[in-house]
Amino acid sequence: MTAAKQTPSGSPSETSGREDGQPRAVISRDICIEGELEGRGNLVIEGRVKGRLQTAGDVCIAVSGNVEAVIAARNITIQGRVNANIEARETVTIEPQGILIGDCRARSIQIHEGARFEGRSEILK
Amino acid sequence: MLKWRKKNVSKNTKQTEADRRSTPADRTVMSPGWQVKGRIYGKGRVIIQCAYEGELEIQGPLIIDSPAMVKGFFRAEDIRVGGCLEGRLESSRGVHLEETARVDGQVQTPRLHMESGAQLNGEVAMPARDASVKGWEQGK
Repeated sequence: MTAAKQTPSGSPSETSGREDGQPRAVISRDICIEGELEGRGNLVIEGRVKGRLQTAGDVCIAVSGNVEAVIAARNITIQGRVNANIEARETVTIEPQGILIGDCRARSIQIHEGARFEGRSEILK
Repeated sequence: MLKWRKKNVSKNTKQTEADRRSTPADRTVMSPGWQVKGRIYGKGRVIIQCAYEGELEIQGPLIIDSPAMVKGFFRAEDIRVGGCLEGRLESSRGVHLEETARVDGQVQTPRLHMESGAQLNGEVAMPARDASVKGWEQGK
C-alpha cells in the first residue's frame, strides 16, 4: 500500500470530467439508486447507491456521497463514505474526509491524512 | 413591444434548452452507455439517457431522453419522453412526448402533450389534476 501522499483534493468535476470522450454521469445528493449499474463512462456519486457498480471509467464518491455497493472501476476517488469492497484497475484515492469500510484492491492506493480506512488492502500487479 | 416580447421568448427557449443539457448539483444524469437495473427514488431532476429497467419514483421532473430505452414503473411530477419506454408512467403534472418518443404501456397524467411523430401504444388515464395530486401525495 502506498502511503499518505498529500495532493490537492480533487472536486468531482476535476476528477471525473469528459475523459476519453465519455459523458459524465451524476447521481445527485437527494437521489438513491438500489440495484446494478454498469457502464463505460465516469460517474460522480453525490447521493446514495446500494448494490453493485461496474464501469470502465472512473468513479468519484463526493463528500455527500454514501455508497453500499461493490465497486469495480478504473480509478476510484472517495471523498464521502463507502461501506463495501472496491477494486480499481489503477488507483484508489481516499481523500482527507473520505471513509472506506471494506476491502480495497488496486494497482496503487493513496490514503490521505485524515481519511479513514478499515479493511484489507491488496495491490494488483 | 413586439421586439421586446420576441427577445424574451427566444431567451426563454435558450434557457430551457440549456437547463435540459446542463448538470448542476441537484440533477441526476445517467448518460448513454450505462445500464441500470433497480430502484431509483428521491428528490430532484432526473435525466435518463441510458438503458434502465426498474421502478423510479421521484419528487421532481423526469426526462427520458433519446437514446434511452427504459422499462418499468415511472412516477414523477413532470415527465418528458424522447426515448423508448415500456411500462407505466404516472405524472402529477403532465407528460410531454417528443417526436422521437415511443411509449408502450399505460400513462396516467392530468395533461398530455404529444409532438407529431410521437408514438403511444396503450392506455391513457387522465384524472382531474387535483385527484392526481391527491393520489401522488397518498402514494408517498
